[in-house]
Amino acid sequence: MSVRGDRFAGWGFLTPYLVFWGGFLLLPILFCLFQSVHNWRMVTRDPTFVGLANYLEVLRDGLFWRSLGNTAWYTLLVVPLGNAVSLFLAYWLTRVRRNLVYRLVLFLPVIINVSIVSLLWRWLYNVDFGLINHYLEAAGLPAIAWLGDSSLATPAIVLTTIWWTAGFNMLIFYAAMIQVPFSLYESAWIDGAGEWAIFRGITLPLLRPVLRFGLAMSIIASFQVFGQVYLMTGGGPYYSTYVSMQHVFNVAFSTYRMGYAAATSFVLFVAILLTIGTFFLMFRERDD
Amino acid sequence: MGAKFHLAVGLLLLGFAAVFGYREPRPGHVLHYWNGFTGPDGRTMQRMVAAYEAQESVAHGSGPPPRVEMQLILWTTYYDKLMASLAAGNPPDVFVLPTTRLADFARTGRLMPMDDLFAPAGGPLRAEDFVEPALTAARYEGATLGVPLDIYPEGLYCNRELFIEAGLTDATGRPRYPRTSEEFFVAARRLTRDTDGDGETDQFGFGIAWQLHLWYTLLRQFDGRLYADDGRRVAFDDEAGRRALRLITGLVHERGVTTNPQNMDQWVGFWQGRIGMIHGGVYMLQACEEQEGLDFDVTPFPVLGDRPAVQAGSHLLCMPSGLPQPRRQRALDFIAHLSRQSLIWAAGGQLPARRDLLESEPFARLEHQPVFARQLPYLEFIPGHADMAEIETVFDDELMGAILGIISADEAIDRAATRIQAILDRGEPAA
Repeated sequence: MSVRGDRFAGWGFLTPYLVFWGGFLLLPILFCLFQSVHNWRMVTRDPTFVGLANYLEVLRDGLFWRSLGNTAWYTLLVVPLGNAVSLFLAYWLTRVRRNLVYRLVLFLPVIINVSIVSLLWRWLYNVDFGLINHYLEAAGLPAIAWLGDSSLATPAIVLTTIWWTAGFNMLIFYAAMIQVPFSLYESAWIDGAGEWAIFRGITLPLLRPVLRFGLAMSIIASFQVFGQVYLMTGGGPYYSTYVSMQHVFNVAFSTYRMGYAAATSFVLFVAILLTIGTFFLMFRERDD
Repeated sequence: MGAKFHLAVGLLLLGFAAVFGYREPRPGHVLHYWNGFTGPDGRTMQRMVAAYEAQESVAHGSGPPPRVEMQLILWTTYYDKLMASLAAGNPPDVFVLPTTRLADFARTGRLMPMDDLFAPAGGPLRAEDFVEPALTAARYEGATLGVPLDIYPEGLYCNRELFIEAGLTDATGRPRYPRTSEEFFVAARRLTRDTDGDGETDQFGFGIAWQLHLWYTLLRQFDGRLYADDGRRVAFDDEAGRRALRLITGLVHERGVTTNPQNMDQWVGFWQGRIGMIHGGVYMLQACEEQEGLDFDVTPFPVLGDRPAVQAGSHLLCMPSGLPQPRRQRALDFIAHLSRQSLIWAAGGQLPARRDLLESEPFARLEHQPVFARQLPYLEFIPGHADMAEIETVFDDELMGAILGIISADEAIDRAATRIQAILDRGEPAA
């Protein structure tokens, strides 16, 4: 095939992706940017240009800051804990021979739909009929309103999320761990290193790029948390689990203030960008 | 370039054409009807729709009769879908809106005025047949934008067995339900018990099902109002609004006759006999009747304030503007049919919005609905607003904050007033 033909074929292969990328990502982003500087209520009136007024309103909106604070708290809990669980499970899998069934079972929650997960855990946490409270009461302890107590609701959602998503990073970490050359472990054993020293001195450093990827993806996903919070607590009790994406959703689909919702989305985007940027600065490779 | 490549590109284009070029066929004789009746009321509505189809089938003889394609959508997502369909210019032919959300949708300018359906304009319905507050709530800027299908006032649901057990009976041994504030507090206290003797209360006198409806009932009983006359200023942050909320929070935190709603699903608690009384709309009748072993009664909501008043709402049957004929006429006929048949709807747990049906013999024979109807002289509809969804959320959240004890009743009222005033300042006044 000629160079021209190659180029044509290249574009041919790229076109379907570019069509979807342009139609379903680039255009909506540009439209969202347009909306964010307009006052627009979906069906009521034509958009009117308001400049940065929507952005200024976001910065003055106490509920937005509260939702951002809640999201940050959720992220602080779920990212380290979730990745620690994934790492532990991945390491444990490397110690188990013929682990296919374990891998399958541990990964299984990842493929469950968010609404199913949320309903399942809402029942588990139920004060009256929940399995968790059933065992607490059987042990002579009082039942706990896991989702009804403002200090416990976020940790309860974090636990649900970890159960649901830990299998994904576990698989990535596991795949990276089994790539570590066996000779390195062998030399460490010969030198008399213990299991913890080997994990800390060999496994972890070699996993660093994969860990960094896993943590970065977790941070992004945590900032975008919505489904399980919306379905399990609806943001309550009294805004204690009210997260940023729910705020955007509420503004867009309860008030239909699309311009303001778009501006809120962009401020949230900047917050995620800054967090991820800071994360990469803190955990950059020494040779970067 | 090989033939295979051309074939692949061709297939790809064909795929795109198939995906983007497909349009769902909408034959002319299908009537699209959306509502949020996903509970037991959905089954009643299904029967009414089936009756309409059967009637039309007979009327059309050999021709194809109109077929109703009814979509039941959870209220939580219903409004978004409806708003999006109106925006996209592809709304259903007939849809249901509660009176509180009418202004929200009316400001889009895409609801059809229904005045043609009423007698002065030659329509089959008579305005005087309808309960006045429901018809008033169906009007927006002078036009009637919906036909009231029903009225759903609050009432007090009482567990008969628990009343008898607590000795809350009259001389004949029949349960005696509270009508005044004193009787209510006595009943609530006596129904609150530690049934298993473990030192913890496990049966409560009263349940809070929907804080906004309860608070609004009390606000009106204390003669308070949500908004000032011009609809541009909040008015509920006066003593009436505060007394109403203090009364509710007092039930939880001082009297201890109500459990924290976050700890127990209040309706489930009532159905299980762990809550003696609960406030709720007439629409909860069918769900209560379906609970095996539940022996319940309903009574008008007691007067806990200075005068009788009870929160109520109404479902309106609406149409989008710009429907072409003959779809428009079919939709109007369907609405008129549902209105005439609303006694069936009432039997499923509602009050008809039509006086002729409310005064009919079959309605009087229903077990519980006539009790709710006794409150018709003092129904209180929550005033609508173009941003009602946002206003409702603010009320629900702030009132719940006080009920949970996270903020005080006064703080909740102040915060709600500040936030709702900001919403009013943003644009349109309350209806």
